[in-house]
Amino acid sequence: MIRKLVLYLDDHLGAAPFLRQALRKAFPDHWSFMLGELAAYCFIFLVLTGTYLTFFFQPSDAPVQYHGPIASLAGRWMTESYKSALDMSFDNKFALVMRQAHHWAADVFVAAICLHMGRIFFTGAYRKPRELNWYIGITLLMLAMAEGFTGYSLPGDNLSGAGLRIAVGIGQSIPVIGTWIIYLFFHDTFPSGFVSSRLYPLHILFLPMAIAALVTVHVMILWHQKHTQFPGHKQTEHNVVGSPLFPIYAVKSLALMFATFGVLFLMGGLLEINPVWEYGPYTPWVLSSPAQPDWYIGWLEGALRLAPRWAVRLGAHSIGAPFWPGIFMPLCLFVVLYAWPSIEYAFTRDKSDHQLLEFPWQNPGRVAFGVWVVFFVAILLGAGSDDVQAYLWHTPVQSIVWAYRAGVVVLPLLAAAFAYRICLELQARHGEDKPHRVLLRRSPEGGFEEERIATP
Amino acid sequence: MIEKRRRRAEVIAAFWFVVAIGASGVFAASFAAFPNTEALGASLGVAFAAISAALITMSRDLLPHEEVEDPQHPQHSAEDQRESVVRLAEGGMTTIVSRRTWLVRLGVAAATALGIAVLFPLRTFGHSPKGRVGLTNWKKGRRLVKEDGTLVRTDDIPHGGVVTAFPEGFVGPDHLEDMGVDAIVVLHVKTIELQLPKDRASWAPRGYIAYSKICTHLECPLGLYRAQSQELMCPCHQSTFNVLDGGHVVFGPAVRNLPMLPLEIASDGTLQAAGYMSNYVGSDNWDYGATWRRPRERRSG
Repeated sequence: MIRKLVLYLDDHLGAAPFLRQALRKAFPDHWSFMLGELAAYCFIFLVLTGTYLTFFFQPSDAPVQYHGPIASLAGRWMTESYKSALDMSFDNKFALVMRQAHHWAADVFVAAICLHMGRIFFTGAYRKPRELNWYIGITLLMLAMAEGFTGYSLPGDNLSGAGLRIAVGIGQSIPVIGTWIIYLFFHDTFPSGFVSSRLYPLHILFLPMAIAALVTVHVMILWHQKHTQFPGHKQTEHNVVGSPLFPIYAVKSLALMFATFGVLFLMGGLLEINPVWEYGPYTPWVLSSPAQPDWYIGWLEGALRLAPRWAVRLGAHSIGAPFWPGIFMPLCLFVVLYAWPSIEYAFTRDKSDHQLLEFPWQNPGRVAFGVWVVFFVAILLGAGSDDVQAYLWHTPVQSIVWAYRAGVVVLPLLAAAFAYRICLELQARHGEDKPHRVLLRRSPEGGFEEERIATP
Repeated sequence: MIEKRRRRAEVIAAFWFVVAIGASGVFAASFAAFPNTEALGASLGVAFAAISAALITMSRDLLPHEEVEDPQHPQHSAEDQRESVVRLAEGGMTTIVSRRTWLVRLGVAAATALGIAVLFPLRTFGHSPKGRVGLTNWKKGRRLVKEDGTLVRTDDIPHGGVVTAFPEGFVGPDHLEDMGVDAIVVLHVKTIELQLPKDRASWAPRGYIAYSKICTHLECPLGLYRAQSQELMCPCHQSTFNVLDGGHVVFGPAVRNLPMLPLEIASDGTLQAAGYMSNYVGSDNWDYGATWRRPRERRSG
């Protein structure tokens, strides 16, 4: 059968030379190289479970009265979207598994992207000639965040409705065109009756298409440029050493896919997430504490809670305070991430191609910046649930906010300095371990001098 | 020795495949017999995970661990090849552009015109924010009702009590959008504790005082009332407003004070608005974040 398949492909596509190379393509053996694959499998899982969910979800803001099995919501008016989210969760137990697995998969998807990006960043894999894939990767991260946000906003529960309205407020703070953007996007004042109509096509059509297209380009570029690799005995700038794609790497990758799907289904079945029936339908005048978004939006929520009250007045106009933490700060962060290869080039002036990765300690400056970003975002994420911490620690939330404000300025800098120092330390240590020759020189007086010569 | 290890791995992989078959059976059976979320999710998850475990065992111990090496080259091509492509591209471009400058300019103008023209459908996506954003349906004489449409009476709100109210005629499932901007909190405080500005001295008759329930930071409803300190707090970003002095920001990221609605008590003991909202409702934007002027209009359209 395999013989027939190969011959068929060669008859119709002349595929033999390609397959000859592809089946033996070298994939470096390091676990961190599978993080990107993990993200890809999450995406496939999201498309499959998401397609299933569209069979049951009714994207409509039309008000309907609830007469279902949830006693606490009996007689309540709600959108058709919210009712269909409830119905699929209660009438069809498997749809609830799929809904929860879909939600978990989104959280894992963005996490996998971030970890993958961390691997790429800290080992310098984005260096020439791989800058294009770095830009595509950051775009994918932003698309994944948007996809997640439009997704968990769809059911029309009170928590996501409040989250959407926060996004509306942030949008309105954009100078000059903010209110127009929001009124054109939602058709009118939020919630306008057009919320589902505007979010649904983005979530199930435009954003996933964009992600799929960019993932395809991402992988094609990877295939063409081949993998980077850590330096080793055989690994050089002129080769790629690893397991062949077929059979061993294909089996490993397939195992990762099954493991991803398995864990996500287990989470979907056993770990409750986003119990929309507990929040009630979106009611713009009701909300209680605590209220948190998903983690990949949580750092922005934290920024909104910590940001100082910087409202800029320009004559009769103003830039509202939410603009700085909600738009300006993330914009700066992503611009710097996009520009990072160029920023590094400005320091190194290094135009050569790099196939060998650096160990993080070999580049303390890069590590310091990366650690700064990780700490900055992580502390903002922590601040995004300061109300829960206030409750748990019986501390006034005001004190916690001030602690976070100090923390978000000081701790990332401290951590970056510390990481820089550790890298230098490691460099010194590894320097000693390097194989070296010793030159002994005898002085005219009869003494000996020792000189270390690094081997090339 | 190696043969023994292979035998062992075969047994382990076989075990996991059997587990996967079993879990698939449980999944199918639970659809019919006990369709609950945990059983369905766990059995399906175990089936997938077991196949994964079998494949991992195979890849570790049963498949040949070969090492292959691919050559790696710099991406750039040979110099003469690059130059010939540059010449091709530049040459092609020149045949389009050169000696027909006026035509090229006209082409750019046409593309620009088309680009601007296709922006016009954007306008049909929604209403203009003018005359809508930040404005409420409150005006003098409009009576306060609760969510269910019943009138708000002074006896409904004891000292330290709080009620959410809307303008009469703008409640119900078809008015979600109005209710989202009109919502106010009515509180009953002690008159002697009030520290209202002079021009608002009459706005809180007998200690009944009303504020917009929509936070001026990012429009979350001010769901938390701390009766002890007489503050309204937002559950989203903890902006806190003093209810005694006209809604000044006490803490948090909000910049503008809470808009206040002047109240009056009708002869039958019902509450009604004595005028417009004191300021624009909702989050700051380009047009009204800086202005403290009182809106002399209500929602249109």
